[in-house]
Amino acid sequence: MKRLKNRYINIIIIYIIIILVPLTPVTQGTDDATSHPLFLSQTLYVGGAGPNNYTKIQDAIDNANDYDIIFVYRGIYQEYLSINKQITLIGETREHTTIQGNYANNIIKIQANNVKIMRFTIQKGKIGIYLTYSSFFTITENTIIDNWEGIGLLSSSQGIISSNIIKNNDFEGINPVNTSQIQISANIIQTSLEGIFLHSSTANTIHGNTIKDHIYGIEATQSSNSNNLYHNNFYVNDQNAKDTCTNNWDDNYPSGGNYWDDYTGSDINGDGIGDTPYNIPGGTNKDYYPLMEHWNEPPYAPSNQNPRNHETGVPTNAVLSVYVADPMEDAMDITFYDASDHSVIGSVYDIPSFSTASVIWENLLNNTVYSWYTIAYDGEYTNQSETWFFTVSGSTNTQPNPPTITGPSEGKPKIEYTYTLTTTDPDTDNLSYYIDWGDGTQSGWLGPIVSGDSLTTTHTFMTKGIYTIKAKAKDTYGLESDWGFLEVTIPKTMTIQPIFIKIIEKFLFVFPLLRHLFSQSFFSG
Amino acid sequence: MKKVLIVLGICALVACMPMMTAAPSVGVKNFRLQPRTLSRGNGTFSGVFAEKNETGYNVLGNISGTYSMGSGLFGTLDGLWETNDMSVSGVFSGYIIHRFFFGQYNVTGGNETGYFVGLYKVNQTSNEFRAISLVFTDEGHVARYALGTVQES
Repeated sequence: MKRLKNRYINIIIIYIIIILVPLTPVTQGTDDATSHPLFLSQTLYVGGAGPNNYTKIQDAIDNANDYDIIFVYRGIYQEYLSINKQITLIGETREHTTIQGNYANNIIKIQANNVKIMRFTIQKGKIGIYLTYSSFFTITENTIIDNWEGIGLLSSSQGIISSNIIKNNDFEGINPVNTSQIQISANIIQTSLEGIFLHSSTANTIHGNTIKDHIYGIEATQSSNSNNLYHNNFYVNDQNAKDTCTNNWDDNYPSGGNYWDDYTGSDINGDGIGDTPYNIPGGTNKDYYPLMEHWNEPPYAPSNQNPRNHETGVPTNAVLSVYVADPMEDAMDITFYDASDHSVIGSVYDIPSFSTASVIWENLLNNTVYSWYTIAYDGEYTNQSETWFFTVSGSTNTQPNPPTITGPSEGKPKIEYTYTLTTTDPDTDNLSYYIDWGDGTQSGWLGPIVSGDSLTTTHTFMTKGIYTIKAKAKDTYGLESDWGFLEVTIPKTMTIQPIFIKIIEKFLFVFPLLRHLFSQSFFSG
Repeated sequence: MKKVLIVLGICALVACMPMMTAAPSVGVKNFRLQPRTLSRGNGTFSGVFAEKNETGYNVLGNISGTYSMGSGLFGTLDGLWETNDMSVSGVFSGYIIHRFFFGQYNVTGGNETGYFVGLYKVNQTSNEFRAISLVFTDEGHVARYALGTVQES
């Protein structure tokens, strides 16, 4: 009898497990696939050097199962992706893992629940990421630029769009249509016709975003009601907002509303909140608690690390670098830590947003694995990167050879000339180039490109003179070459009355006949 | 003789000067930004128009035409539209007020007419324009998107 009872209990337990397993992901909401211990999630790799890695992201998607992770190594992937299963797609670094089209289709089309897209640059598509009939998604830490539309949502719900840079998209930065209960936060949304265009979308929360340089910063239309919009910063939009519906444009007192660059009210009691409401054009909505200063959000997690994660052959004096960005474009202090004991390797201060911070970790031991991470601090908030690993090897890094600069050594002012830089690295590391044009202007670091390949760029000298162009190369560890040089003479070329030429040159656009004649003679390049 | 040559020279310069450039063009209104609207003068535009549906943007056809901005704020536009397969076409005309435009369209060979209203911007560096408009038909209204280039004449 007891044996029979145990048998029944076992059957019931097995039955419960069978029932619960398929239900778990549905009830887990936005949880990452890695947090489902009951599933045998696998990781598929795209790019990189692994023998079984995929070369196309879509091939990996097609061969993935629900809850799999697809990790994409740095590179430019010319693809249009279609995702119809519950997967996580992670790029190695957002700056150098690019999915790119030629405006023929949407770059990533998603029609599935529980999809996560993280750390990509997504560009030159009709829509950068288009979510249709999807829920519980996460779109984070991506750069979405130069598309017709940044992120489109149709009949989607309960997702997160955060910490993305959504810039230079033609029509809308984000366009939710018939979409509800999504959270749009801490994004930089810049330079589109409309920053966020809510259409028939309700109960969404939009907070902590920088919304800049649009015709309309945010527009809510077609029964887009009950949305909560607060702690956003509105800058240099033709019209910061337009709302023909009924929405909440603040988070009450003392949390406050939004920062509006065209708010003209005062703050007599100095509580940081304007004394009079900000009227939202288009209807009767008001931000009752407009912020007097811009709202601050933490810096983005430092990324684009060098050395790459799990890189081997790193020299004993390792140059560590990360790319840092802040949604409010604040300068940051960056501290590098040894992850084994959390001691400080070094700090750099006042690093501008959207730039690289680096330190040298010296006297490392050969054949040893090191781990490190960084913390960015914007004066108010911090954000920590992931922890990365590298292995020091016996080889030593050698500096690149000085670049050879080829191009015209003589020319005329205000004419654009092309120069080519070439050099090699003894370790065949990729190389970046820096050019000092000798006229007070510099190029900044260009590249990286493959060792031995040529980098072509142009420059215009504005006045006559003798200029010494200097260029140097830098390998992936930050070790710089000596300078390479080229002297350029920009002579005085006008032999006729200078004052007459100056007048003609200045007002040439009003003399088309003369312009035509002159363009055939001494104004020709 | 010398005076005659000077006078002739000045007359030649004045004769070379086109009338429309005698007035200065509208300058940059904000040092932080490029102006986003058409500036004073005449020009042409061409590009495509599209709808948005469940698959994303669907290019429906081409548009082209002319515009005339009497000032930096007000102007007119006239143009042609045709579908990708050129089976349906028509004309449209309207007015530009700063960053907005509105007008009327028709279908060649039919009685169908409608109205549109929208907003646009122009990238002054690349001469590219982008526009979103609502098109009102007998059955309701739909959103249409247009992008292309403008060329000052």
